[in-house]
Amino acid sequence: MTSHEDPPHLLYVAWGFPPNRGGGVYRALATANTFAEQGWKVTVLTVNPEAFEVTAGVDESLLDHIRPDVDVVRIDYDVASTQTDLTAWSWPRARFTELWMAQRVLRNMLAFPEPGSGSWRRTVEKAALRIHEETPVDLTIGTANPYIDFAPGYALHKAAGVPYILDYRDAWQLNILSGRRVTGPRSLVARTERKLMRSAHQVWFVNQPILDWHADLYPDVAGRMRVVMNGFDAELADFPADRRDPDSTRLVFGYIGTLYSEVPFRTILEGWRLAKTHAPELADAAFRVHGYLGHQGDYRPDALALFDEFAHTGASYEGPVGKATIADTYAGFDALVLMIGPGRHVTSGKVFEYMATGLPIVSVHDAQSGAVSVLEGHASWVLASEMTERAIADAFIAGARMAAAQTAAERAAIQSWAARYERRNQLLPRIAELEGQLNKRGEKR
Amino acid sequence: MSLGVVVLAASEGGAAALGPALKANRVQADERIAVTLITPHAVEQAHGVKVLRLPSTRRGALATVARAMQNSMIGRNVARFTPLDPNARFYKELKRHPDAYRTALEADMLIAADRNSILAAWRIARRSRKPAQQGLNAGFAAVIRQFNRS
Repeated sequence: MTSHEDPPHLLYVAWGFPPNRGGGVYRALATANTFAEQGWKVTVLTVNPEAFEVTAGVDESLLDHIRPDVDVVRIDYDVASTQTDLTAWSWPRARFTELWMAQRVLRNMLAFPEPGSGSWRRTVEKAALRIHEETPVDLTIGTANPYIDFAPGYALHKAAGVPYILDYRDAWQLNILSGRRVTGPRSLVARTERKLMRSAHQVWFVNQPILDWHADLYPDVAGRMRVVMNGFDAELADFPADRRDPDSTRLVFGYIGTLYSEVPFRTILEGWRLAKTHAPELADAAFRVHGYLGHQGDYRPDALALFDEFAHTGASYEGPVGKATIADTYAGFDALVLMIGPGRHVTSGKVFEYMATGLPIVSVHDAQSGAVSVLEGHASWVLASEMTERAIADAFIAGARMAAAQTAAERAAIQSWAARYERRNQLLPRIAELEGQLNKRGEKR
Repeated sequence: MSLGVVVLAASEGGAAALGPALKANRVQADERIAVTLITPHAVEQAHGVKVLRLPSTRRGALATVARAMQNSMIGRNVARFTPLDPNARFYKELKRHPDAYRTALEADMLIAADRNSILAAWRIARRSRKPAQQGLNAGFAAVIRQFNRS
């Protein structure tokens, strides 16, 4: 903690804060909690939960994990995509919905270059300024996406000189799957990001490849860029080392997470089917997929159809898992299947959870994935040599043999090796650094 | 007390998504929350969901053109100004089916499962003065709120 008489005040801007169930919410929750645990006064600025019902979805069980000393300020998120009450729609909107949305997107982009949320800028900036008036803010962190979360930090910096951190869970101008830049250098996004980067106190990224890409784009900011990796949460720290059911010969493979359309799910299921025909230990094995199908809580008919088609292989879709039951769900598996999008910029958050369990992991993704560098050293990990049915089948067979042979001692050894990836351990060095910097600023004043 | 929920799905995807949406939102279709799906598509439904299947009137080359136009944003929006517009057609097909139309008018809550059922839900909601939501997640969240209130 700093030597201020009052604890430093962090304003943490996170659209996706509990009970939001979307990607990145665990990072947001852990960041707010860890700062508070380290003695900071933490105010989270987020949206009313109704917004999540129509976007990413709701996990009420997450609310129990917010520390009681974290203040949460919730404001309206009245943007077009959350206005789902059809009785309030005009005739042009009901009749020509896409065209109506297109003109709304244009208006949003002029306010802030983010199609869905630009119009929220004034509301969220006003709320941040009000919070600062009531209790002066020492540091703002905005976590994105959505990138509108960066706007209040910049507004407070301009109005009152408050330092701010940009926390990138993804990348604004880089498609992390393809590795290609998605915006022109003179685009509104590029100009806005440049402006935000220039005055940022620090810029956080979830892995080194994404940081490197941005360091090349903004060499003058590179010295202020940091990697703050994702990690696993405390409830998985005490995962049992014993086998699920030592007497059972029926192996259960599991996946927990969002199943994105970029994952070649049909090929993976074909590989699964092939593995079952070649390995007797997989003959009656099950492959259970938990989580959401698609980013926005949609239900991807294509993925549902695949589950129907492959039902005879023991593959099934089991629906979402709340945070309260996630450890129990992992405890029902003998091995885990890691299915993530391609690209060296993709680490994914679930890889850390997977490691925390100590269960064998079957990686069925691009060998260039950022997750590979995290998993190297895992004693029960197998990576499909290529994304073909044959190679995926081989990986499943190897995973099955690992699962059947793994002892409690081996699993415990993996858990102990993975402890470094507990989320708190990623954040503490950054918080210590910030406390030192804020102290220095205080002394200079 | 029973709450009548009518889900309108013009597309096969919208109809197929109903089962997982019920599961994800932890809604059990039974006598307390009576869920009826109105769609022109033959899809297997979750236990407890009543299905009213609309006869699809479009056949042949025009149907192929109409389907092709749905594959791009430009195509979809050009179609909006033509008789091929599936948003308007779905409403017309619904009106031609007396059982389905009456069920929709009598619903306590209407849900448009996809983009081409929005106009039908909007028009029926204006006529019946009942709540209507766009999207399955938003719809079932509203259903749960209304059920808990009552």
